Amino acid sequence: MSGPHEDRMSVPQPLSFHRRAADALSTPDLPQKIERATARLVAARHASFAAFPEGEALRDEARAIRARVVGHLDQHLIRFEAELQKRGGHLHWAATDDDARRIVVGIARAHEVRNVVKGKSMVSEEIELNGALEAAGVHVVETDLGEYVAQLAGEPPSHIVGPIIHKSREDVAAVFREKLDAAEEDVSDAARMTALARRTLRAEFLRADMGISGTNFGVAENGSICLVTNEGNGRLTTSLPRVHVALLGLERIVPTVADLAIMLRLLARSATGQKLTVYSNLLSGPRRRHPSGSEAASEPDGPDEVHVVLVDNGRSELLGTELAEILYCIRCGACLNTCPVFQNVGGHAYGSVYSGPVGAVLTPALRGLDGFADLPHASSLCGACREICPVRIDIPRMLLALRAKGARRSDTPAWVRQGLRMYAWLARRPRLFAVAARAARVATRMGARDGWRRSLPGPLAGWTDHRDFPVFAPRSFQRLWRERERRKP
Amino acid sequence: MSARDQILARVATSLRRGWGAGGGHAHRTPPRATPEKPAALPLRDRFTSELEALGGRVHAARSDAEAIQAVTGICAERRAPCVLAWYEEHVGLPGLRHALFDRKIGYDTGWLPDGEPARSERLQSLGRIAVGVTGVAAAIADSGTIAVVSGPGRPRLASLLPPVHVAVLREDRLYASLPALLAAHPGLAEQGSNLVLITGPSRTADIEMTLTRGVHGPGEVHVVLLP
Amino acid sequence: MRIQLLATCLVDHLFPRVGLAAASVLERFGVEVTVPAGQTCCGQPALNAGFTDEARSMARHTVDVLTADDAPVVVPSGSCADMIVHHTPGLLAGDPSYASRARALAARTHEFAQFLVDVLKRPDCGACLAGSAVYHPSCHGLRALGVDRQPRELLAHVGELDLRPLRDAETCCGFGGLFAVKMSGVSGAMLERKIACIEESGAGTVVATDMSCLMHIAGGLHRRGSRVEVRHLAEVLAVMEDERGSGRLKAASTKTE
Repeated sequence: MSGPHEDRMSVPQPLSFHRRAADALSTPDLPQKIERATARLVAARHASFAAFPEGEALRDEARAIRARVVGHLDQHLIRFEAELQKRGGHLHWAATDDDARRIVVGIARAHEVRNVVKGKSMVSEEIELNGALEAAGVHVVETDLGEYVAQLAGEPPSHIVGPIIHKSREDVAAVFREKLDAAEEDVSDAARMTALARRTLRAEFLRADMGISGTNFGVAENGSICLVTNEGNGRLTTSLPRVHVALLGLERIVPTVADLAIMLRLLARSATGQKLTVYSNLLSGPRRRHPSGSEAASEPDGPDEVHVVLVDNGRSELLGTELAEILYCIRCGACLNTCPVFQNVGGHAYGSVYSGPVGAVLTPALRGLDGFADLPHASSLCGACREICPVRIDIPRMLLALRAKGARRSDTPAWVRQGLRMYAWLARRPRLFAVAARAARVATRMGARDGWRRSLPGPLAGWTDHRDFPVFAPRSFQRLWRERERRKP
Repeated sequence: MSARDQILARVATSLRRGWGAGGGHAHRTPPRATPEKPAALPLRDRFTSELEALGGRVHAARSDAEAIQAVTGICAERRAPCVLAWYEEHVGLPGLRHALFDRKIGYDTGWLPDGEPARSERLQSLGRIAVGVTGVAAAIADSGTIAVVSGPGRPRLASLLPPVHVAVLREDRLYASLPALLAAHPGLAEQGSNLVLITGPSRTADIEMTLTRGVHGPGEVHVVLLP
Repeated sequence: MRIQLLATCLVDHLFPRVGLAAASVLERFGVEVTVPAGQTCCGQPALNAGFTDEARSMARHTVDVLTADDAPVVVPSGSCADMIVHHTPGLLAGDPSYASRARALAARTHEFAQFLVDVLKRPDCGACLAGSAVYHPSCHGLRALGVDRQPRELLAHVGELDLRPLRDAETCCGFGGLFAVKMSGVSGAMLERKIACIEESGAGTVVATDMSCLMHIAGGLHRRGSRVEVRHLAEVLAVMEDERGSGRLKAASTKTE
């Protein structure tokens, strides 16, 4: 399977969440496809926690672990580096996405790599790695089934855990027919399509010179990296090729293996309702060879070189700020699944690698508000994300903080800004507030029928696009109360 | 200044700002239902029911001979001419290799040579083996998980490349939970370059949330359980 | 016992019946209800839009209005109660003339259902309403204040009321304040799902503790010509005798009690 690579992230995106959401809402069947996946994942998550008595205490512990690491990140990074190096691994520090791309391409060039297999890595999407590798003449294949389909289709993944929840079975069959020239019998059901993908990708695995993976957690106490997958592509990516490159977000460290165990149990249950992901893969450096070279005393397989690329790309700027809490995230995807906004519009509407509630904070936090100023507003602040988050991240708090930042920058439309200033001014002057309310009553009664208006003017039309607006009451509660009190003997 | 120094300096400076770890106190919604405690079963029964619920198979063996028979039976069913296996002493079934040999089944311990084309050719041939056989470092009853660690005579690929994985587990290595396992074997991760917790056969639900087994890793996991 | 009723801006100017109903239920238990003059808006809309300075000034005004008297405050709205209990102290923490008053106010402010059940200890209001209803737990009340058991207990004691389960009850209805206007497409989609679940239940009434949600749901139901009625919890609890077919929630009601 080869073909011209399309840098998925350079596909032009309409500018705002609002417009992309409108596109999503008008795409036939898309909300149903998304709901099918998210409803099942949320139900599985809840069923799993309902049978997990230690779950609530574990969430507290996990939060404390993340807080400790984020609060002392430099110490843990230094320990991680030392332990990884002790076991023969290499650590590279990438301050920016550009640096990270350069480092990985550099490693590929140094080893004359022609073919790369990739395991799931959000960071690799974030830094737009595939395009850089392809430009350097390296053929890159995504090996996670959903990511593979997305790659063939030339689209970015739409969900952290389920990359193609936005595609139906028939959509996937169409991709395989077109890009793999698949026979009809090979795309007749999910099992056969999976088998086809397995065959095609197995060939890629066996010929790959380098495997690139993400990392769920780096473990500071022994410099190991942990990668979890259900498919096994994470293991093949990190065990077959001679060179393994792991991308690790700066904040994705835990102090010990025991801490890792806590995170793994919560991650699996939160993401898919499983007790543990099928493969929890802990890697500590390259294939261990006895100095004598003796087969009996050396590991028979494994990569000859392990390179971990630590990616900052804006994370260090968040430390010590009110947004640092978003760095606790363990990328389980539960907030996406439970978010009613995400359920209706899907991941692509967020216009960024990180979507859903976590993305609404993380993307503007890492990339700045330019181009992402509306993401923090893509929420009704219902709090379902905070409730489901395994490490209890208070996403609504940070959405409000980002909204405040945006308001100071004048990202807010003029009518909102002026309207709210006026409203606040009036609210401190109760008599004038009451006068304004009476004026509003007059305005709402115009064109009203049956106590309701079917349309509101100007920027308020958004309300009446979807529901009626009630007419103000003829007399306010406070006025009725005063009259009542006056009537008392 | 190296990138390392730059990043570490930025981290240190940032952490000195007011918010430290940045979290407010977590706004708690108390859980709406009290979680139920799962029924207490003997460990081997719990392990068996968990693994079989995931599509794995547990073969209870009362003796080494029965265990060897279970392994050779699986190979015969798949007409496998060869297995990709750990050294017999790491599988923990003395006589296994000999028994397989008697049935004309080869025993490949998966050594990967250096240099091309030897390495690639070797991988291609290993990729054709239908059954992998390993031991188990330790196992977890509450999730049906087996832990395997790489090491001399213990190829990673034996539990990964073939479509069928047979793992030999002795009951004294079975623990109630993951924390219990780690408490009993604190140095487990140090024993090799790769520790994997395997919980059932490889699977995906990426296509329309339809569960399919046997994606990249083995689609069949058999645990031969010995007392 | 005396309490201060904070009507909230929506109840004050759009749904005064709800304030009257809440007062009548409280008076049923011998509580003296006072309505502090000068109340306008708690500041939540400004906070949610990111206008923290404006939110702060409105919060100061609210603190002034409610701390002239030290009687507990009862609010027939989970989101407004949340604003006073959780957000106002933080907003005013840096203002020495308001910080401690805001904290003290937060400690004695209660959402209406919470007050009836947890403070007055009166889950049975002697109410009676024939018909079927579903309860929609408003998000702020549910998740920020932990209000869920209390409204359900109160509704369970309403005579003759057939309270039915609501599918996906805890999924947000899509109001979210300005979100309903700025992200109107998504808000509308969320509303459609909520209404579909309400209609699926076959219930004749949807009950909630927040007029913000109810205004949005009622607007959607009215747009579709639905016969489902919309009631604030206080309105349900205020009805003492069997009352049938009382009509849809009329914003411009001329009835007073």
